[in-house]
Amino acid sequence: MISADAIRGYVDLMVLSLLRERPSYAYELAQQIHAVTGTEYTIKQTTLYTAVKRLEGASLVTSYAGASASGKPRTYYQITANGLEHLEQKVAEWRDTKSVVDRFIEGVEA
Amino acid sequence: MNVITAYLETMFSAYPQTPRMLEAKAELHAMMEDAYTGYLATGLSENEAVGRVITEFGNLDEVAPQLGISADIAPRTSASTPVSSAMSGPTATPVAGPAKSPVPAPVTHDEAERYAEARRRTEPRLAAAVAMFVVSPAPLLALVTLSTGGTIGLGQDHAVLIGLACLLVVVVAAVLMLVRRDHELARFRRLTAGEFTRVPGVDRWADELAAELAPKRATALQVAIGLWILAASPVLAMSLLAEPAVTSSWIGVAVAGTLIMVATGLVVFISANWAQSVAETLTKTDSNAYAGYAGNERRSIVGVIAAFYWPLVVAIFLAWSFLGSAWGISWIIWPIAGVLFGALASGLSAVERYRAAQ
Repeated sequence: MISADAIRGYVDLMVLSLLRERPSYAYELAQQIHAVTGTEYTIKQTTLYTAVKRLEGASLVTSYAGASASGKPRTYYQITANGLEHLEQKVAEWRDTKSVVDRFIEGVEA
Repeated sequence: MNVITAYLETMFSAYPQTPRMLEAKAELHAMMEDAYTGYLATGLSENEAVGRVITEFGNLDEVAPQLGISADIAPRTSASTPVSSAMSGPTATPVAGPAKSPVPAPVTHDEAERYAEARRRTEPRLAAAVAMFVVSPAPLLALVTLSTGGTIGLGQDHAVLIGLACLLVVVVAAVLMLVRRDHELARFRRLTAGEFTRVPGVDRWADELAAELAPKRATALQVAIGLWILAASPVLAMSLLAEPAVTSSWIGVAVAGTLIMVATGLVVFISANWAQSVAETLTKTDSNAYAGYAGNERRSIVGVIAAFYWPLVVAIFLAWSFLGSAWGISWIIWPIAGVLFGALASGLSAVERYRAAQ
């Protein structure tokens, strides 16, 4: 089980990488995240909503009004060129972070 | 579904109904609805589905800055939150959108508690100082009429001199007490000046504090109004019941008694009024504060009246006495002022209650 604090800085990365595939709406994003993380991490709805709004505010995603198959109104989010660029940076940053942290924990029994 | 809607309403009720808020509520509601339907489809019972959805809701307070909610009530840069400080690059920009005109920093719970504690501690000092202003002419009045009537072996000039000296000493002591109190409350200046942004949690806390102490305040106000109205009785009793010769020399003492009763009423009321006053300070941010200690009492009409009324009465009394050499009759101002004050205070507090009931 991963704590919310530990993963918090990377929720944006997760959302952007999912939106890279296709535009999506909040609940679908939550489900996709759940499908990948399984029981190890459950994203709170407020955390996810916060993340997409933050990304939207930074012009990394844009939103548009759409509707579900049953006609229910939904807000869809779509990644922007800035968002793609930012995702690349964040992925590179994560690789560096991971490699740096890995160097410290080498030999530590978990 | 109703449980979820009610839950969301409750969670959002603490925040102002701004467009951004309503948008957030609508979208979170849609998410929860989808999640609920999704859980039902996987075979969960209604209760289990509601439970799961609510567990996964999260915490509105924690994420308020990014939701743009706290930007409406308490703007701060998102860089100060753990969420975005863990990030870098353009995403660290606040979601709040274009910077609005600078809004004062929000009041914190801790700050509010410290302010309430300081007010609770220093309010007796305010009460004592106001009371001292009121009783300050008492020695002067008593001595002058006693000496005029020949009850004490003191010339009128000496009586005036000693009485005035007492008045000045008492006024100076009261002013010093107020200055010291002001000094202690100085670090809460932005609160008393209304230069802060209200926060729902602190609002509720302050209102609860005031409500908790409201019965005490009501009793104190009743006692005080009773005293202010009865304050005329020493003078009335002296004028109606005593021999004319006794009355003319002791009337000043009776007036002093009137002043002491008025002052006692003020002590009782002001000491019990602090919680109400704290709540009013914390829940009003319009900056129409008066200067000085009256600012703390600005919503309490009785407090304002007391602060301006009694010094004015003293000024009229002294002017009349000196300019008209009217020491023998000028005391009449005090019982009149006392009764008038009682009537004003009860009338105004009735208006206050009427307004509060609206």
